[in-house]
Amino acid sequence: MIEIQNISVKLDDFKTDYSLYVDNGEWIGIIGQSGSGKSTLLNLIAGFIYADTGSIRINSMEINSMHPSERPVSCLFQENNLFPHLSVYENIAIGISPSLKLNASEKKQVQDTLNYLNLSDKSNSDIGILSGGERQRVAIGRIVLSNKKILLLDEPFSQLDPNLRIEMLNLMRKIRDEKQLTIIMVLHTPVEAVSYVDRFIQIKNGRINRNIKPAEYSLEIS
Amino acid sequence: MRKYNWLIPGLLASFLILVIIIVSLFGIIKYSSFKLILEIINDRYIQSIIYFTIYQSLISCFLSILIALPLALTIQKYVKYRLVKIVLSLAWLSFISPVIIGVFAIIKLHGISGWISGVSLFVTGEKLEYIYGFNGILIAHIFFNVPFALRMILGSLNTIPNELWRVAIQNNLNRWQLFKILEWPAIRNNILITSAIIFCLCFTSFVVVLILGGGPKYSIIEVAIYYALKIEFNIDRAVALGITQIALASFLALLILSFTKNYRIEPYTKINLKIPNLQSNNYKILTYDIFIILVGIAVFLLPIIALIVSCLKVINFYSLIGNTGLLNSLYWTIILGFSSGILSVLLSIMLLMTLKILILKYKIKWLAVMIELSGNLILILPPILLATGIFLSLRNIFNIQQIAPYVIIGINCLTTIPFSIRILGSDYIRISSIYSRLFDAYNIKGLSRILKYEIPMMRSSIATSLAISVTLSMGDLGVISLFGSTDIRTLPLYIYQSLGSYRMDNAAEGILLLLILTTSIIFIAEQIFGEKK
Amino acid sequence: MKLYIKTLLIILVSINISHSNEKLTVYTYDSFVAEWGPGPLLEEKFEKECNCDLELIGLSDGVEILTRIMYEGKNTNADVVLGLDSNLLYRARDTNLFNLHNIDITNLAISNRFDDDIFVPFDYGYFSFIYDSMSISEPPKSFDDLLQSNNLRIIIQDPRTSTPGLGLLLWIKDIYGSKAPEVWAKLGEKIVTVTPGWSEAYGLFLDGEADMVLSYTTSPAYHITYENDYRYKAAHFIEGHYEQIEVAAKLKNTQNDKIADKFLKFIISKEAQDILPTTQWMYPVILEADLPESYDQLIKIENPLRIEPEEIFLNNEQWIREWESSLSN
Repeated sequence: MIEIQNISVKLDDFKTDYSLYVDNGEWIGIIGQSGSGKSTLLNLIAGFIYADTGSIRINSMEINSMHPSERPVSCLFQENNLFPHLSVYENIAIGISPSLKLNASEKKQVQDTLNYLNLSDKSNSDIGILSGGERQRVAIGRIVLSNKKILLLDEPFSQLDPNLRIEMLNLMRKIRDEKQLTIIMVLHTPVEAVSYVDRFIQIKNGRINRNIKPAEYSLEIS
Repeated sequence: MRKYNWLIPGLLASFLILVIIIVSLFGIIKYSSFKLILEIINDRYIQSIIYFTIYQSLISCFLSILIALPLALTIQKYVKYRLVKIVLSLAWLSFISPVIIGVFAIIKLHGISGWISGVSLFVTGEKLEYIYGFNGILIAHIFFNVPFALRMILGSLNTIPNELWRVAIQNNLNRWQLFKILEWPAIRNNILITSAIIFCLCFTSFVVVLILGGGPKYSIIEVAIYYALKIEFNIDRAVALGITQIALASFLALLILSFTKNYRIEPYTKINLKIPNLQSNNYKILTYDIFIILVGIAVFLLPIIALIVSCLKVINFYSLIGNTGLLNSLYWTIILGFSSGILSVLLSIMLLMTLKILILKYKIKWLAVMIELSGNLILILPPILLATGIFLSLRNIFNIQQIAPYVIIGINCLTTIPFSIRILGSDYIRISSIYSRLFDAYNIKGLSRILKYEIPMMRSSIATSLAISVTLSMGDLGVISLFGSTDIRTLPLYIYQSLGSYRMDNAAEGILLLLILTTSIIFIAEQIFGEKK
Repeated sequence: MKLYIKTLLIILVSINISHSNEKLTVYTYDSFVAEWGPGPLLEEKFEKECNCDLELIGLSDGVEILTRIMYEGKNTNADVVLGLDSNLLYRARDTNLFNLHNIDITNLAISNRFDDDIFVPFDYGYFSFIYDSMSISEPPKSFDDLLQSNNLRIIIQDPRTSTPGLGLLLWIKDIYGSKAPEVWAKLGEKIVTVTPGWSEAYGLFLDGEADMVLSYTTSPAYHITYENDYRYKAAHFIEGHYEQIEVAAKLKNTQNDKIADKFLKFIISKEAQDILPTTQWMYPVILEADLPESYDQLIKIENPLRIEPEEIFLNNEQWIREWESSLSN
């Protein structure tokens, strides 16, 4: 579980102060206006920004001063998740071996991941020829392979068309269930995620304003 | 027909550039003889010169990149600091300083009576003599070219999207893997292009090789051209040597460029310089970083500081007041420098307007290559021969004295276009690729797209390229001394004339004034215009 | 500021136009026309005398004057050239572009060794090595001395790009003849560097990069006159010193033959010659010209050395090759 207590960092126009408690296996959708500090929360958890004060504990372990690579966390961004000069295979393989020198069992793991995500025929492809959805699948493949239990997604599907977005959400649900992942996801179009997330949290001026149950959210907007 | 309007600016700029080169060719073409070229390349002496020309250019170019690369990798972590930004702006000074002034600066630091030798004398009781000879040629070429390579590499590192840094860090890539997987692919092409440019610059670097080479043991083709043209009055030979030089330089530059690769890259939308957690509190890394940055400063800033100190020693402040000769030179330096600098940036933008559409939209590679080549052609032409060619073709039509300012502006503009294109290019293409759909959606096109949208967005790279073209032109001595008339005298010419008449104090005044002028231009451009959002 | 200079230029130009009927164009070199050179003073005096407009055009160096004339051929704008090096005279004469001068030059200071019907000498000097007497108490007394010395370091100029450089090459050739290559090989050990022109060499010398620099016996006079500094001296070599004579000539195709003649006469008049020693730092060609006191301090050269221009012309390339290979080991 993730316990966040009053982590604060001073940004250009405001100071954040987040407190949040997430169960293992929970899927959280973050909503809020742009500039409200949604991505900042993810950056703090991932360690791309260090908090000035407060504490972040994952399964009772304090991670606030840990290097991003040591945290049991991986990220998926809206774009630029892939190294343009590496093949699909290599982009995924980085998840277990940054040196790209894989032993037999690691090779098998990569191959399994490719199969799992229906990417095996694209294994040696150039990133440039992939469609937007395929690219995000490759990035998900890497995340799956890195075997980190907490997934932070920053509007990962907002550039895809609506049908594809639903497809990707289904894929995420399947992966979460099979790998028992905890997901915190910044949402571009929350309404689509209503039937996927366990709860929404709304962020306003660098603070968590309130928790919303998916059902309430549906009511609110309708 | 309207459909092809976008071709006009690039082709027009290419045409204007080629006109100057063709005018020059016209003046010397009748002297070219294939037989003489064969004779020349079979001459053992010329062969040894050719060998050395290639050898020194390759080594100089390799070392410049070798020093610029770790410097860029280190400095990228600190570019957000004001002090580092200022150091980066000052670094341009060694790139734009006139060769003769740069060489004097190097000698003030590295010479037998230079600072380093002085320290050695104090410590060991012996002076050091290492600057005259092959070392000196290399040190000078590193001094002149590292800042350029540094800025080019930093520019490419800048295009690595923030997300990729995060992915890399999250996946625990070590320093070598970061370089191999993240940084090298981003800078590879630019390093090769920059290498080709530096290679060409060293290929014709005649004053450096003569003064610091220590004697005729080290000679380059350009010296032989100069000798044939001016002392022997043998244009045929000069042209044959020139053609040999052009063939070699273009072959080798293209060879270097053939290693470039095309990656299909997603257009980057977010470029910012906040590299997550690269800054380390690790004591060892910090020490290494500081060491590398100090080495950089020693390479490109210390010689200039040594020069300033020695100028301040001999300068006579009283004689400065009312020195109309100096002020008149300042006036011409500003007029000619800004004219050719502005023209250079204009032509570069015109070239890029067409280039970006060719590259991004139509993917007509050969035409793109031709247009880009026209802007860079000047790099492989022997400067003395180019100027002589122009002189020979124009002298029957015009009074050279009367058109001198225009010729000077034209040639200097041409010499700076390759650098303007480099500085502007990646920024322009990046901005176009990000916003092209937006522009199309709102039907923003033609001149208003360029003037109201693209140029304001490229503000900082335009400021830099303008500053560099202007200050590079201001430092010209070669063209102005060939075409200058009595009325037109720029600061470098003033400095050279002073040196030629025992007047070290006047030379020092000129050097300081030129340094103040160029520093202010670069500073205003980069630290004020380039910074505003 | 700009406005000020612009108006100044306009006024200057308009004054010239209003006062002058005819214009004489003279090609010379840069340092001649600089404000501290003889150009401005000569121009003022000559324009007053001839009621004409004298236009001095400064080219990059003495070699460039001839090059430019050869490139321009018969269409040249120049009426007169000023500042050719005597070593280049054969080639200059060979162009057939210059005209006879019709001036009596038999009573000049150098008439015992220079006579020519085309070229009018206007100043001369001797090459020598300059040293700083504060750091060298016993300068070499001959070329042999210099070659034998252990730790003297010198800076010279490149004969392929500069006239003093060519001067040294001829100097050594004249003394040592066929042994010149060996002398150069030995001299090579003393050479710090070889610069493209005089300016760089002298600048480096003043910066302390070498003990001696190839220059003229008259160089110390500048330091004495303008800096009251007596430390710089010319080393007196017993083998003799090579002489450089600078000449002027008029072009065949000049439209202003009379004024050109007038100018050539003027340039060897006392009025003009008085100016040269403290602007050109060379000796005037007439004995009556005023010499500043600083010239008393200079070494006196009795029997200057000189090689005939024709011989230079015929052997130039071979000697240069010889020079290159002797210094390339």
